[in-house]
Amino acid sequence: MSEEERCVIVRVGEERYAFPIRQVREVVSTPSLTFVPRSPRHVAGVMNLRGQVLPVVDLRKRLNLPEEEKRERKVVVADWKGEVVGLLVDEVEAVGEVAAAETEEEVRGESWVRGVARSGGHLVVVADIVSLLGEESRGIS
Amino acid sequence: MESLNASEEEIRIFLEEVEEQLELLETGLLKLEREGTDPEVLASLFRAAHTVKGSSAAVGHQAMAAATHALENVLDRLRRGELHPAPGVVSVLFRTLDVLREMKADLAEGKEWTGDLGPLLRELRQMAETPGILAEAGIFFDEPLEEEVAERLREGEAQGLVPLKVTVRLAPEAIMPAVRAYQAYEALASLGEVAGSRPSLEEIEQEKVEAEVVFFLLTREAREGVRAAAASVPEVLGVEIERLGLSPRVAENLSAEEPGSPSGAAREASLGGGAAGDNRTVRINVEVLDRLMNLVGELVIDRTHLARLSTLLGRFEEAEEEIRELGRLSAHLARVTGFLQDEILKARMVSIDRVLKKLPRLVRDLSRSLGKEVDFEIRGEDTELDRSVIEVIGDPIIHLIRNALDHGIETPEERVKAGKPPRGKLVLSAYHRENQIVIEIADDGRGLDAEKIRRTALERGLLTRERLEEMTERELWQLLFLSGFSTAREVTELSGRGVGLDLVRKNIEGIGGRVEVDSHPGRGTTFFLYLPLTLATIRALLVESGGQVFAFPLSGIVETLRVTPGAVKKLNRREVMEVRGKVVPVFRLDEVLCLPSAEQGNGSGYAVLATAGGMETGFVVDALLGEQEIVIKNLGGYLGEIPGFLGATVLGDGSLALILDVRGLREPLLN
Amino acid sequence: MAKVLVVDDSEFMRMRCRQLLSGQGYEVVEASNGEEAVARYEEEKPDLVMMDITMPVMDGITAVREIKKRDPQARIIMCSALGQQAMVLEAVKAGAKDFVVKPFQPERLVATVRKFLG
Repeated sequence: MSEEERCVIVRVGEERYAFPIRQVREVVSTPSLTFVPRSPRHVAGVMNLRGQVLPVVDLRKRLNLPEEEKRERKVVVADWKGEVVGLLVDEVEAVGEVAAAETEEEVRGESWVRGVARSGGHLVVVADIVSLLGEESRGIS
Repeated sequence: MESLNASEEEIRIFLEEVEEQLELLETGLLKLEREGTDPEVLASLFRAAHTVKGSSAAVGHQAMAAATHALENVLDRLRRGELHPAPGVVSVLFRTLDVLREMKADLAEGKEWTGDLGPLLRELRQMAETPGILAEAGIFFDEPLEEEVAERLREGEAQGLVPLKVTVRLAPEAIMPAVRAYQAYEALASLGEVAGSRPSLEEIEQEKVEAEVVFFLLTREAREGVRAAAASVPEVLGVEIERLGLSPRVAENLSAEEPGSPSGAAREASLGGGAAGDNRTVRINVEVLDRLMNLVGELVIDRTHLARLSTLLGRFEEAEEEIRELGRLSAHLARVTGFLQDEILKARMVSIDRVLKKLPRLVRDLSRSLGKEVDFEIRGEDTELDRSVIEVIGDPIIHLIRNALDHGIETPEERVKAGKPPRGKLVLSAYHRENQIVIEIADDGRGLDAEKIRRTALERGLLTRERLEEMTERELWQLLFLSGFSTAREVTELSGRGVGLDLVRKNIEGIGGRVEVDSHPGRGTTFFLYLPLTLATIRALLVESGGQVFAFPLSGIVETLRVTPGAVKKLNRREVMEVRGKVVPVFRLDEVLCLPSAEQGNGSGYAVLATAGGMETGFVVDALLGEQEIVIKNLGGYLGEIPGFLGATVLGDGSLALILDVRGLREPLLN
Repeated sequence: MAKVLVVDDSEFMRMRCRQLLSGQGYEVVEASNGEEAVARYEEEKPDLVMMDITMPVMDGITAVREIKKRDPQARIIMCSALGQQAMVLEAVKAGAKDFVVKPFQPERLVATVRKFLG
């Protein structure tokens, strides 16, 4: 993908990811999460999105990044198979045009990585949210 | 019995005949209620009443003769089309039937019937004598009205005015009640059109007024305004306003702009044998609700934009305080519209009791005509469902019940031969399970006959013999739902107007549910209807455990107890509590769910005793937060079904609480 | 100060009404028959009229009609004897707003007047 695409750029830890804006519904600040016992590890919990139950995936856990102290975090609400699922990130940095540079296969790795780009002076991984979330929560190891 | 001039033998024959005729009356009335005017039905009803009148007079049972005579007069008017079988009329007829049954029962026991026939006779007489109730299909009124008045009311309604019955009660000490009545007339006439009144305007002017005047008003004014107008007349003690009764069909198509007053004590006119009006309710047209939903939907879109704007703007450093304020406003708006959505969804909730109410009579009816004896039990009648779901399940449930009575339960003789009690058992249960509402219709009859199913399938060329031989019993039973499978017997009048099991499945699947069946030859059959529950509400007990709030569906809770230290004992490596002499396994909810424990498990807190599948389990929690009606929300496809949880609900503060499924919680624990 | 026009062919009745009403602080003017009442109404423009029914020259009901013709907003209360319901009805049809029955209890009368005049 080398054309420019409007993306929402988020930060988790030191890493940055870009999600195509058409996959993103909205961003919620300081979410109030309810933990769901017996749910998969990477599911942070559920929250009330205007009366709807929104399952929220902790991107840190999903990406196996080290845990950090809880600070103010944000939830990126994405479309997933006709429903909505949230991604818990540390920060939503910007919304902007991103052009993914050519990448080597090895860099790509996961299926949900669409490419890598430069934005705001950082290296940003462009990701496809639906693949990142998987077929269903349990499908993620 | 001394008062009758008949021998014992004659009385015996009389009783038999009365029983027969009463059956006919019951069947006929049920038909009349369900299907409306039918000349044959009316003729048969008339004949039945006539017959009983004659014989009861002959044996000297004066009360029965009087009652059936009055009944006959009403039935006569009905069959001549001079009276319309409005719900109010039919219910009086049913009451008469009940009284006749009582009389017969008392006579059979040699007792004298000691009821008061007065009020009933008056009602029947009024129905037989009052002029012109509309015989037309379409709009009709529960009220005996003159032809022109009813005509005018109908016209007015078609023009979008609302027909109200305004009852004005005058102070007993009023010296000139006719003047007050006239003043009330003037006051109401200024708000619309007075189509008629009782006493009529002429009679008012002739001073033929007593304590009460009833006005039939066509108006667009809200009820509060009408009430205020009538009450403004001096010496008016009270004003009661009712919307005039309509046929159920018309009520559904009702113009949305009903000038209803949310605070007014407006009584509902009864429909189709429905419950008497509840002063705290207002009837709302389904279309109004749908429109409200759409409007809320638009609000939701706007608030999404607002939220997005607010977040995007948040990146600007300037005007930070204002941005934050915007954010707070947006969040508040989101909460409020969320609640609005919930309330409207709740407004669509309807108790399943509405559908189940007429079943007992139906079962009694059918079982008798089929010569079967059945005990019918209903469980879970306060389960609530979304209106659209309710509308669909009515017919399927009736069909399945008829099925059970017709094909499932055997005659008493057959049952006794099979070593079963002569009375069959039919149980309809409605309950929640995980993500759904389940309705079970279980009979202890003969069960499904696999061989017969194979044969029928072969006959109808549905499957090859080889395939049929391979199929398991469960698969065979699924064949019942194939269209084309309905045997001729199922399309009998008793089983309904040819509604086959295929239609049942189609209807249920059409709303996102499913139908299953389980059967044991000789022991019985159970049909399961699984219905989507996303919009349902239940009453729940909120508890706190592990720092979180959870909801226990109230229907599964037996009781709650304070847990004192030492109340929890160890028995065979399991923790138990002794409750009312029973030993119940107990678990700490926070341990079960692997949550951080509040106390160091010395067992203090509260125990919630919940039941599932006939077994009780205790769950110890940290605090009981109270009972509440909650809207069940699906956890969504991403999380799927998590055993132990029915879904989630939004609490008053906007946070979510998970709803527990006791059966799902317990299963892994006790295995 | 509200003004009340008392119309009755009996001087005694007029006097009683006057005493009662002026005691309550109302200004009272009088007429002894319907015709006078119409004329006085035009002159005095009272806030309320207490109208007797049976009077010579012009009866109360006709007077109500005449006054209403000239002033549709006129507030008129009939003073009727027992057994005159039909006539009170007529009067209400003609536009009278309320009535009191003679012999009236003072509180009743005052209460009715207050209702219209405050």
